[in-house]
Amino acid sequence: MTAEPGTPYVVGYPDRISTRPGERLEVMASADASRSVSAALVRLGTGAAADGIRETEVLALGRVDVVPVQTQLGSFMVAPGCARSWEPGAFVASVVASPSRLGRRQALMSQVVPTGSWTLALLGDGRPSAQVTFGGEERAATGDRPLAEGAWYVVAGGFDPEHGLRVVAWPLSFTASWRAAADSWIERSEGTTPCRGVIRGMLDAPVVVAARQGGASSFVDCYDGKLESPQLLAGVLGEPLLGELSTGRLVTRALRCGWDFSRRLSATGTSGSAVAGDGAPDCDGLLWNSPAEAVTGHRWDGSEQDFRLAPEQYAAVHFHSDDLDDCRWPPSLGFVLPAELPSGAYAVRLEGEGVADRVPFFVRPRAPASALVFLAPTASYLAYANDHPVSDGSFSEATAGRTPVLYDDDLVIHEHREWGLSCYDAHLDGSGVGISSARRPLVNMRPAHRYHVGPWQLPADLAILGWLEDEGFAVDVVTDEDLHREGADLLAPYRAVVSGTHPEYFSTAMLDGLEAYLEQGGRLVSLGANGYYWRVAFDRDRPWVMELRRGHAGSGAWESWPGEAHLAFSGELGGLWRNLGRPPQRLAGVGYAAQGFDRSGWYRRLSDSDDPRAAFIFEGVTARVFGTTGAIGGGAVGQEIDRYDLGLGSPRDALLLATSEGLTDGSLRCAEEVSFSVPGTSARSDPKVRADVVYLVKPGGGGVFSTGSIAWAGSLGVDRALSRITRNVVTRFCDPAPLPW
Amino acid sequence: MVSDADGPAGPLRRDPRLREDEAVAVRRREIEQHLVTLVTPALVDEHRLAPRGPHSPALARVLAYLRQAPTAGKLAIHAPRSGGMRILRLSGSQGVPHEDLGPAGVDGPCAEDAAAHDVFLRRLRALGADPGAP
Repeated sequence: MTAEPGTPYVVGYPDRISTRPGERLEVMASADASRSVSAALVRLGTGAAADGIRETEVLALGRVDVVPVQTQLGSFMVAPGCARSWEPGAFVASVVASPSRLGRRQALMSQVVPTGSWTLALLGDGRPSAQVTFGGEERAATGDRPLAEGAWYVVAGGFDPEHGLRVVAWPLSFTASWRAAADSWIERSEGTTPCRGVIRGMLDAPVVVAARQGGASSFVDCYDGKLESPQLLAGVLGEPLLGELSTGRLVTRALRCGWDFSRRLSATGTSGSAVAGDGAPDCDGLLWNSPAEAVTGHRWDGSEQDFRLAPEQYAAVHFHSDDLDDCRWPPSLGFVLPAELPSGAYAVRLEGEGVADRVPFFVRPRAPASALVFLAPTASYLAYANDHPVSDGSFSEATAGRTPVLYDDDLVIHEHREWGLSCYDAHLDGSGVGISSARRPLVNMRPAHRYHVGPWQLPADLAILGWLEDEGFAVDVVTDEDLHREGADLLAPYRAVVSGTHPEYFSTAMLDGLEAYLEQGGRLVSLGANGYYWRVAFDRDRPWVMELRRGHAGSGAWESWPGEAHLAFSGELGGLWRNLGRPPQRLAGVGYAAQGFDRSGWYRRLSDSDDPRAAFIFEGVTARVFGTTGAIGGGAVGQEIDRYDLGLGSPRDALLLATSEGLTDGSLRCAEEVSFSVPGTSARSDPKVRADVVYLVKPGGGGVFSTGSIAWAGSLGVDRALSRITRNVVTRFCDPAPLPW
Repeated sequence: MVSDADGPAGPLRRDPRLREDEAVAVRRREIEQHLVTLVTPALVDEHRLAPRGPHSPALARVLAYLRQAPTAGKLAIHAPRSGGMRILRLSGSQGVPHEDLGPAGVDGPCAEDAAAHDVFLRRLRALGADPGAP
């Protein structure tokens, strides 16, 4: 028996993640078969627990009929305005291409009408082909040699109604590429097919680049690899034109329509999906599913790493057949959030016929209503969305130090790749996934989901919200995307901010906002670890799309290709905030040190914990050791941990209250700190593999309490001393009186 | 693994990935021959009692290698909502379902630990070691 396709499911996503009471919300849903399910608005993290989920039903929403909905996967460009009646006659389709994944049919450029089509394609064996179909007849000119993955070519197809078809692909030399050198075995490929009258000329249809229209609203044969300067030219594919095409640029004298992708690269990066066309009017294109931009083109010579300084060297777009930035499902359900709905984490629960889903979102307050606010790390949720750590990543079991456990949700997202990948996955062509969108089901962003190492991100964060409610703290909820948009103004009404367990991904605006809030006297209860770690950016025109460039250092699943460490959405250099001059130790007193998922340790108090300024933290706690119990690994120190480090920016006057004990060889130093290949980087050999608890007060009077451990949240309500410490901190931080310092 | 017969047409006589595969195979044989010598009844029992550790250096070395195996063909545990624990063989290909190998041997107080030990025994046999009676 296999875990076969067709595992029953119902799944959905909201039209946005951050909402306010009184606003209308729509939920897009799909299922494996037509199903009738009941819908209800539930509040997450509160109320009684059942099957591992704490939730309270708020509003019944009736029954919803959910049907299977197809998703268009793969990135490509469509120029719809090119649907016009061109003058009949010979034409040439040409593109500069570097294919990254051969082995199946892929379309480079195409036009399709009900009665026929033309396609410039790569066949399954890697050979280029110029193909036409018309009136049931099919003709093709196919190259005599396959292309090589990673090499650059001009691929041109000549479509001549009088004399036939011709395809030529010739390699371009380039100065710098570690993917494929200009090997002598990369050769020209060409072929011709005489035919007459099969096609009259260009068609009255949109021009599609990197795919082919397969039906009324579907696209097939999606291409994997980079493309530059796609163009359609009037005339025959003869030697003079071949010479002009060898420049790799648009041939303006014969241009019918063409697209210079480098024109999308401004000093502040790209935005939106429109591609300006050259040649005939109304030739502008639209990119679907966010292919990677600001990527090295065939002219990249390695002299510049920042696309903003040499855009002509970055004139390529990297298309992937598994890109996704919007499922584009129609709404299955819409309703108005109750006007008096308290701020918090919510979900639309869909269940029936043996399937269920909870579609989460967050509700902001209509107006700030408490001293405390929880900052839901939605940027980090996006980074991990639909992660396949076990199904795809061979490294995950080694880093976890335990045999991986897959749950039903993991099998569903393994089978349903059409819901897109996480920023920890690789595309089918091996390149790292740098785009994550909120307009798709985020199957692991669910209250009951279990990552291969236990509760992770949203499910773990709900434990914090639940504990705060159990302790009687009133708390509003806002999200990373709110912070990105509104900065410190979002947080200013609040005395204190509580973080999630793992706020790993931060945009510049988010970090600026949080830092400004603290400088203005705000307080941060940083209950997680590995926070404030990677830089991300959001598309200015499509704020539901997030981009990550991992660069060349850090503990992450992939590395940027050379020259591609700058974010397309902003132009900024990507990578670790530590390497960008803003280490988390300066913000929070602690920063990423190590990870280990086998078993958790505990904390031992240090002498600073007896400092009178920290007395409020340890009020009612006499034990010198705490955090010895917890739901995550059996203790409060575990998963990913942060430590105090003066060399990395921990404030010199911060109090180092406690450090960790009890970790094993399963906890290993973070990769970015292992400068040479040496043994002994585990907790049993390396004293820098530890979690530290830090308390500090900023010059403006703001305060920070950092726990340095993701597993801390698992000990809330379990470990009495730890719970009391946390309660003491949250209570005091909500008190407007100046912090003792 | 790609065979010579699948190599591209043209002057490239051998798929370069085969060269890399050959070197890796030599190294794997060397590593595995050593690891097999570490597999004793005591080591197997050590894992059975504490699959998540802490582990002796010998067991840690064996596990470090087993855990870094490529995804295709690797064993994992499936904990279905319907209950029980099962062993999966990962397909290694996106979208291709994993192969269900049946229920895990789950004798013992902790089902996940027992399933992890079941996986360990199967991996040792695949390595060419004799872990003793199942």
